[in-house]
Amino acid sequence: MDQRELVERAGRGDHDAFAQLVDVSIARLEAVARLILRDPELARDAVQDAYIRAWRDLPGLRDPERFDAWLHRLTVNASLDVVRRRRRRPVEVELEPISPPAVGDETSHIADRDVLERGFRRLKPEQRAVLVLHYYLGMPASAVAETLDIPMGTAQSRLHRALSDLRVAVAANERGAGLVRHKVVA
Amino acid sequence: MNRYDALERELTAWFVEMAAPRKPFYTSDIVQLTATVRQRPRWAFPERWFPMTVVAFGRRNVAPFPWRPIGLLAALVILLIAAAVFAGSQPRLPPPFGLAANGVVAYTQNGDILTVDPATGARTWITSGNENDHEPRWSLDGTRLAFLRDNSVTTVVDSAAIDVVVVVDREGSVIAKSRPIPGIDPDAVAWAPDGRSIAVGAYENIQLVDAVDGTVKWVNVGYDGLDFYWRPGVARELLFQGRTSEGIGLVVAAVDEPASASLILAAPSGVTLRPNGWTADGRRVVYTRIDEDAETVSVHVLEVDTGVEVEIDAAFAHVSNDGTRLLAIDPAGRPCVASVHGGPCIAIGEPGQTYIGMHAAAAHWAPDDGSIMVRVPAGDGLRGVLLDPTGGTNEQPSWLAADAESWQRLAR
Repeated sequence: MDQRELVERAGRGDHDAFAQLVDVSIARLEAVARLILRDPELARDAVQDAYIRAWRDLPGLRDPERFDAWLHRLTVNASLDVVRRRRRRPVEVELEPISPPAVGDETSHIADRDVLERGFRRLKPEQRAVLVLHYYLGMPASAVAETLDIPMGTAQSRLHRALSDLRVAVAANERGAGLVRHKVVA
Repeated sequence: MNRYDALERELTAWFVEMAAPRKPFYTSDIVQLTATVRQRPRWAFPERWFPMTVVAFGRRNVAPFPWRPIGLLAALVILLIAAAVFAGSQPRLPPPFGLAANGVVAYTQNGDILTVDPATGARTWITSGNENDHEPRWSLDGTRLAFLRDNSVTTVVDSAAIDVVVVVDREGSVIAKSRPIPGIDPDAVAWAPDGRSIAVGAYENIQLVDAVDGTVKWVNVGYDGLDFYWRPGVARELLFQGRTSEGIGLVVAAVDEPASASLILAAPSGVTLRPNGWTADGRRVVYTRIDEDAETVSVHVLEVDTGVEVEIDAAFAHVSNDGTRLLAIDPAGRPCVASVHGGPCIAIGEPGQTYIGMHAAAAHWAPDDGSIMVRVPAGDGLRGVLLDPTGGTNEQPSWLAADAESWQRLAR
């Protein structure tokens, strides 16, 4: 059964179909929420809120092909709502890498990570959201605009501004940390 | 390739590394939870009945409730009440540096600042309400708390995070608030030893926030970002990585005399010298030397007056209160403790117990140096751990919050 059929069945109240949609999408959404919120517990709240809204409002989704974009929008909005509702500052939370760094590189790895981490933490959650959608999920600006329900120009402007702010923050940190950036980029 | 492109690629790589998709353990909980929620009937969605242009018209923004003026008014009332009721005798105070008795630990929870007494586990709310407060820091005499109050959520989206520095007494009464300051590095917040001000790093500037009236003063001393450390025994002198007319490296500057900034150790080309603190006597500087060409990282302890220094095979040190030991990361990624006089850095934990980050706020020696408060990865989150600097058993006491930020110093 393809996703479109699952979405249609879930929209008609088939919870088993919805469970399958959850199963294939939750890892990605959880990662998005974690990056925006920088806090696994808050990310859990956001993901839960997003799926509750998704299940509740799925009958209103007119185009099943837009399910993924719609789900991303629900997740981003739920993440930002969590920030506003719980008033909690995203704190410096370490996200576990998929594979641990080589032992000999541990200190330089921590140093590399620290610069980006600190720069990213200085951004507002709204700014993190556009960066995550664009650079993590690989969405073009048009899809970012659709996901956030904002005009294309606004999406481009937010992307540019967020990246610019991150660049300033990273540059300041980088001079202090003295990191070898080409190691990361290569 | 220009720098802009490099950052974008680096950001993508970092995202992938830090947030690899994985099915969370609570997936089935969510499925079960949604099964208990009723779907809205299809007819209830206006999108099903009207063109989107009409639906969008109905979503025009409603003027938001004026939370900010009300919040400011409430803050003003709190300030007036605090000023009216402020009274009491001053307790005996600890010295700003050196050993002290352990007081309560300040931490952040849901945007509020709390303290917990390690002896009893009793928790006290220092702040509560709608504000988003974070990064609490005890003054060195343990009488006041400074923290950051998020001032950015309700402002325009396209701006950097903006915080206000708030100073409260031990009961949470507001003493001073700064103007909003954009781009504060949450890890670069440090009380001056005399308690008159709090230094905050904001991008490449050091701002001094007056702890009494909240005024903010920019200190132009050639600061290059990241951590800075007040010098023990000397009034209002900061150590940081920066630049002077003599070059780039470790700089010491009296904040009230910016022209006094002097380079105490120049960084050779390709080498970064990152300050890690002072020994308690204010005579030695501890720093991490990062050699990009040789790809080596090491901790150094430099006696400022004589230039004599020792090298320790570790990285990113945190100096104990008595100034005799330092916590660092050994080449295997384990937390370790070494003497400031040199010698091996003895592992006191496993690689998984590497403390988070290398910045000043990443690890906290207890005021009595009996333990070191760190945060370590645990499953999907973090947990607080007390490392035993003597190599004994590391503990996870029930009172210790993962967001523990600052340990109050009390007179011994």
